[in-house]
Amino acid sequence: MAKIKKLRKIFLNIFIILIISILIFSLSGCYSAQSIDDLTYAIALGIDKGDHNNLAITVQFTFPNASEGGSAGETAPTIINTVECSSINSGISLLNSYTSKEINLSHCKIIVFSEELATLGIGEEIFTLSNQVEIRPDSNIIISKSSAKEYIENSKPELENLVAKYYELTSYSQEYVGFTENITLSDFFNKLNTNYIEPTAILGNGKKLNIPTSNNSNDSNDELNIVAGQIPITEYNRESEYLGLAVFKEDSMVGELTAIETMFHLILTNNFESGIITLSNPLKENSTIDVALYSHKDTSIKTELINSSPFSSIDINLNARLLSVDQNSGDFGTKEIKELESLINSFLQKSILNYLYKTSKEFESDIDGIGKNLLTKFKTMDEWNNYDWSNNYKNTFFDVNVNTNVKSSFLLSS
Amino acid sequence: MDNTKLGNFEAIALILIITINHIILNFSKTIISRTGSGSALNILFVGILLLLFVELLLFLFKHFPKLDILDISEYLGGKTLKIITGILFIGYYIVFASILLRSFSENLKIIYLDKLPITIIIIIFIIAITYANKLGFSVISKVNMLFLPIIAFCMLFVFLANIKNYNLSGIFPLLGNGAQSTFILGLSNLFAFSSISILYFLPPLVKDNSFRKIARISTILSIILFFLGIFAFLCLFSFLRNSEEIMALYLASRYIEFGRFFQRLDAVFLLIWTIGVISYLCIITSLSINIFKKISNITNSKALVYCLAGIIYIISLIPKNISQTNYIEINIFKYIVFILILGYSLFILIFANIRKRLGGGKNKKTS
Repeated sequence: MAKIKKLRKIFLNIFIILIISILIFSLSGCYSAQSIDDLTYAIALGIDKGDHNNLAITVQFTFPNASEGGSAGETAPTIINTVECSSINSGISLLNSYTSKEINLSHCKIIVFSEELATLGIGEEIFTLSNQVEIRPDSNIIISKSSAKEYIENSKPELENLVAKYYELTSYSQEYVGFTENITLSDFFNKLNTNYIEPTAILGNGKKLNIPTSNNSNDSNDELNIVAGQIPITEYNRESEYLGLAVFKEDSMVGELTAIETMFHLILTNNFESGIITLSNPLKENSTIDVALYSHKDTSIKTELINSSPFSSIDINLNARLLSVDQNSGDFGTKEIKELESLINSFLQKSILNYLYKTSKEFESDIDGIGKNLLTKFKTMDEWNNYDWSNNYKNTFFDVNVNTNVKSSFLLSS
Repeated sequence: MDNTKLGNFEAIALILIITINHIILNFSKTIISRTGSGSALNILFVGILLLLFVELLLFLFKHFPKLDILDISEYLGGKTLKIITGILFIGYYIVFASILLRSFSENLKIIYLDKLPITIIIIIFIIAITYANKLGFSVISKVNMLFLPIIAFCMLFVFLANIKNYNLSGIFPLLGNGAQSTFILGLSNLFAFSSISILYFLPPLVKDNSFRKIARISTILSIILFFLGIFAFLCLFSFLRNSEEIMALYLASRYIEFGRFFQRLDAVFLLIWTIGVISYLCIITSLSINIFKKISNITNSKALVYCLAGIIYIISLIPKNISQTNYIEINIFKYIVFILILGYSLFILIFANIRKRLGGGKNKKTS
């Protein structure tokens, strides 16, 4: 009798578990009957100022089953739709009513704003995007000097089959070039909500600009004083490119950083890994020398208030290796290395000072987080807010000290 | 509740699972919105006060070995006070378990289950609570002990995996909204440690002489967990001070990436935290059944499970939106914790001690 009772209990438990499992799977199936075929994945979102409405939203979709067909080396096709709308959400809704599948933003790699819209302020759009569960915080924020639509249309990868992969990989060039920064939606949103650092975004361009003509300047790094659209590539299939950074004060774009200025920004924010600069060769007239710079120690920034004016003392430590060598390179002894180090230091010191005064006097935007070093000098948030760092940054004085160690060249060492 | 005694780790796990759930369900954000960048300092200050409070509790419980707050209430004010205390605690546990269940279900709905009605999401939790409680407190506490290390590890993993995203400026200025806000108004942040309410019911459930050890260890671990949570959120999110957002811990998990390959790990964490919430709800329900059993002297309490599960389900559906659940969590919950856990129960213990000192009380249990 007891055995039967026990068996009955076991069967009852199995029955309950079975019913619950069936209910869970069947109910979840009913309510979210949405297979992958019912969705269309947006890989890029472009936001322009509209002609007839507030905004013009451009969405780039991957072509359904794009990865299945096509021969090797052929770029997978994408579909680009643009809609004029009052807000991002209404634009997506309008596009949803047009497309046969539901738009899903969970694979959106880049969000492109036009420069025209960025100068007016994009705070509302950034908050809207950050509020979306589907949009990942690691989507890149790009400000296009041309329209966002043009940027997306002209983004035709040459070395990738998938546009999504191209979008994903390109921003990583920060790691080996240092001419732009991998700025994500979460970076931008976080900086937008603080009052000690201002946001930046990747600077892009959907069309080629005129290549600046050489002004016969002695400074070899003039060729790096270019922004997106000015990369002097003479033969190309893709017009869209990105280089430099867009500088914001609060939610409005106030300026742009060139390639080399972006490198200085990365050095100051400890995001620099490696980059190349070109200097006049101290041992040979009318000759240049290429130096690869590497991060050595974190940049130390100390900011004090002197007579209520901010004074920032910056110590930069870098390693360097010679890239260009010739038969005279063997002459590089301790003295010459010291001479080269001091040349690199004085070049970087002067350039970084110019860059810092440009951000403080011209842009009045603390994109390097100089202000966060001042936070410790204030006891409460009220004191800090009353100090109004955003408007005081322009009064900052800088002292930059660069210490570069030239290690060696590469295979042909001196 | 069955008569088997809880092991030390089992008992500590009971308290820690509540603390962890409070971190998962955004109590840290409530603290940060009051004390701003001073929250890290505030939680250390509040933590020290909490330790002193727990020491006081241990001192007061010393004269009532193996008795819980219900027995002590009976000793002090007879059956009436025992029933009042029991009903107050049942009300507190059930109402706030329901609100937290609603809050977590709403978050789940926003994140992954946007097309599933909230009633269905909640009922899945209710089925889990009912089934677990049919198995008894002993099973619940043992399963909780099994899952707690995993849940705690996941939480710590989220904090550690985000280290590269930390910005230490988030904890400055150290005094946040001012000394008064950090040290005086910020005292209200003690509500976050409402898990210590379990201590009032623990003495008869644990083995001899281990109550003091359990109380101290669980309190210290709770303070450490909360401090880590607040420190991580301050360093990660600059916007946490002035915006209404869903679970900060979930937002932090969205930031985790290891290189270009290991990204989007948040779904795994959400699944594990769901188990944590179920565990928490099971413990609270089981505790409430035990209290009811004690004040009503019923012998078979199994049928009570359905009744309490039904009540939790109904209460969790009362708030109209997230804003209402937030209001209850932030404003009402805070004061009830102060009145019931830090005020009423403490007074009962103090007066019971005074009575004992004065030589009163005929209850045999206290001898």
